[in-house]
Amino acid sequence: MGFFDKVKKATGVGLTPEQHYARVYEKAILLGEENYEKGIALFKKAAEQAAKAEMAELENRALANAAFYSFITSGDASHLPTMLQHLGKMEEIEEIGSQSDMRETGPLVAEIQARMIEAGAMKAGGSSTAKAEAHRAAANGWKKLGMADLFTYNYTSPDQHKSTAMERFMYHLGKASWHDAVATVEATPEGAAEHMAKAMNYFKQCNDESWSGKAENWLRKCRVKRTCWMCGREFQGEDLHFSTYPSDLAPYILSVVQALGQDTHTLNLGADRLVLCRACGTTIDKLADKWATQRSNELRVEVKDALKQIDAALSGLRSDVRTLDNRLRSVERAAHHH
Amino acid sequence: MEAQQIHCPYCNAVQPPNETGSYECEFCLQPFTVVQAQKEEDRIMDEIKGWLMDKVGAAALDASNVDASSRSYIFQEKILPSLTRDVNRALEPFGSWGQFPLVPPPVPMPAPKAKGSNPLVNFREEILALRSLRARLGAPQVTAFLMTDEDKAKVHGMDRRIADYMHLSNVADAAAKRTPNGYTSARKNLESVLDDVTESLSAEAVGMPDLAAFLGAMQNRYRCLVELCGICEELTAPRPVDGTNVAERLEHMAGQCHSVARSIEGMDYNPADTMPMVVATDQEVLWARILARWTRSYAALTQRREMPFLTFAAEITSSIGKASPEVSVEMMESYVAIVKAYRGEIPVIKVEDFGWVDEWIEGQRKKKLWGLFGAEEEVERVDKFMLPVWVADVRFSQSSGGMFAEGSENRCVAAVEACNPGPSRVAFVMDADSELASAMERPEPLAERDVALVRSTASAAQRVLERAAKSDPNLANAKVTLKGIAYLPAAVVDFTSKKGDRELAAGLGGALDLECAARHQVAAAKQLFQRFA
Repeated sequence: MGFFDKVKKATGVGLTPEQHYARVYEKAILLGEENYEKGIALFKKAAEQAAKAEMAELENRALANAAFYSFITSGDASHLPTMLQHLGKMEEIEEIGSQSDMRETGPLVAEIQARMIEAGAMKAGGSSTAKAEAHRAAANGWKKLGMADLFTYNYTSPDQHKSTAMERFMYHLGKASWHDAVATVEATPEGAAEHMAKAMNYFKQCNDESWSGKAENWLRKCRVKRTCWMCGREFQGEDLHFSTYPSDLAPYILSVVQALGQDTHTLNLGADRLVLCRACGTTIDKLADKWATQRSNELRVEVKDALKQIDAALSGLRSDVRTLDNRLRSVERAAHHH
Repeated sequence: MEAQQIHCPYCNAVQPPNETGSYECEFCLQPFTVVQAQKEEDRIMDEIKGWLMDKVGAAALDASNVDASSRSYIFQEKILPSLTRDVNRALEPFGSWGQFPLVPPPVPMPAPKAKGSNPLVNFREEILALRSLRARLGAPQVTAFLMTDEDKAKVHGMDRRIADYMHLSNVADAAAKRTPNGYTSARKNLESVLDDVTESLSAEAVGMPDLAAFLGAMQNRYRCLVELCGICEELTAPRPVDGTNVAERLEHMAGQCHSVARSIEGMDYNPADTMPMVVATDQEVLWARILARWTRSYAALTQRREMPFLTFAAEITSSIGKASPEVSVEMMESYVAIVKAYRGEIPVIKVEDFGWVDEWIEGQRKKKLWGLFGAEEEVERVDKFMLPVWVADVRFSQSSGGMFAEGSENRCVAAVEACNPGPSRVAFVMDADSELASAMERPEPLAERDVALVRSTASAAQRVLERAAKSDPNLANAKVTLKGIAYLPAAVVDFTSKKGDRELAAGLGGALDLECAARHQVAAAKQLFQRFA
């Protein structure tokens, strides 16, 4: 290659659209990951040149790569629709970091479609039911891909599940069931336990120890039944529909409960705690809160006058201090003159 | 006179008649005497009487004193609520048992996915103590208050729930012993549970298709486990077994178990019951498949010298040393590969040119400077051997051209020592016509010569090579595709001088620095070949 050819390549002046496209690789992509940002700009420039020359296929390829590299370097899901738009018109696309190795676009398009639904689920807010629905939709998106290996997740992933579509399918089913359980627990802890058991299984199937551990803990507590010390009714769901409260228990109390054939699990002698259902417990909590607020308000009124007097005394003292300070300064000034 | 049944004082299981008066319970493997059994029986009876007295009072203790409608009323109002609550509370701590696989095979296995330890084993004492509660459910003083079939079914259902916990705890405990006796006991307990499930299918699941489907799946799971116990009994027996046949049975069983798990997963029955079973069954599938890999390797390695499976497993695990169960299996399979290669049964990638060794040794030998300073080393011993390395195809790009720098694509071969892969033991061979590159195209039999033993897995090698490629500034956009093991010429040399001795090892024409324990790996391979080749 002659000197002028090298200059043309370096500046990009006087190149054909194909040469512009090849230049992206030679001057950016093949120089390593740190040059991908530059590559994105050059892909866009190559696309402009191809558009001017009405080379639609080359323009599309350049734009697809620009979006592809933009996504893998930033992880910004807003690039996904653009990727999808351009990849849909191609049979294959260059592998990341290579110009000669090609990758079929079919599986990639499917992955991006599922990823777009997933991006929506990740942002879903509102009620637990709405979140569950969003994750179920994401799971259904992945279901179509079966056991397919994932590609884009090797470059950017919101979590640890980046090997197969099945893994993401399980993860989203787990999240959907988790939100189902949270949505259901107020009405039926039994039903919530069913959802949470599903969640635990799905998380285990995608090897998510953190979420499966949380689900297992939640499930364990949700299944526990205890009799309320106050109302004597049996409730299900520890820290959901009943809790333990501090008390002052003695072995005699336990022996009375035992003799009456009542539920001894209501009492925890060692920890000095007893079980109250949510209704009884929160009634006590609220009443205690109300009394505490009332008493603090009364105290505030009682000390109001005393506080006023202290304020007045403090103002007087401040004024005395100021007067003394001024006197001291004038004495110092006089001493200085002498 | 009716002969009195002897119940095990630990798990309450009925024992077959025995004239010696000494027993070993075939369900929980605990030894006991008739006297102990009788003592425990008396204790339980006293406990039941005390409990009933609290509930119904002394007058109603003999149910024959109470008319039928009163008995029914007492049962509904006093006995049933208390029994139900006591059973529920007693079983509560074992709630997560469902996720745990039941039969651990007699070789190292990956830990279950379930969190913590199996409550069936962890709460063994508490579960065995359920015998009192079970005895209460079956005591004539209590059953005398059951006036309707519905009441009887309720109590029977509770009894079966407890019995299943006790049997399954026996299964987990006995199988964990990993002895022929342990597996036999586990199998017997599983057969009892199977009988219970069969009874539930005909008694409780009539007209309840979801429950019937779930119980049917459980039946299939337990049948698979009975088969697994049978296989483990064979494998732990002190005689050689047909490893290939066992592997095939295990794979078949794993396939069935997998179908069971998938069918449970798709059921409409209560997920709180079904989903933990899916987790456990999937783990059982995994364990059965790993055991099948063990028995296949056993079949391959002991082809020429028969030995009991446990002897083989002990030798292999001791040779592999400290490693996770997954890594142990992979290493064992690499042993199979090297032994087969040594026997000439499979071709391998190899380079046999040792021509570089003398020159390399001379280059490494320390000499006196101007005949005066430093040490003059002499070569005391040289050992040449074939070094296993993981080889990979690496595609990368590189820049060239100085001021007008441009990137271009290229490929090379990467190799990392397989005895102890590490970043310092990686070499990139850029020459496309190198001996190694061409050897990768034409595998050959490994001649019977000294070889070092592979001590690493493909996944570990892949990670090391990827890291090495990524940190090499000359390899941009590197993509590493592992090809497998290759055998390269290597040498260990001992230098001696007045200033001390030293050992040096290298492979790949000196391009690959080796750890000096290479001789140890050669000795280990020799031992392996002596035993199995």
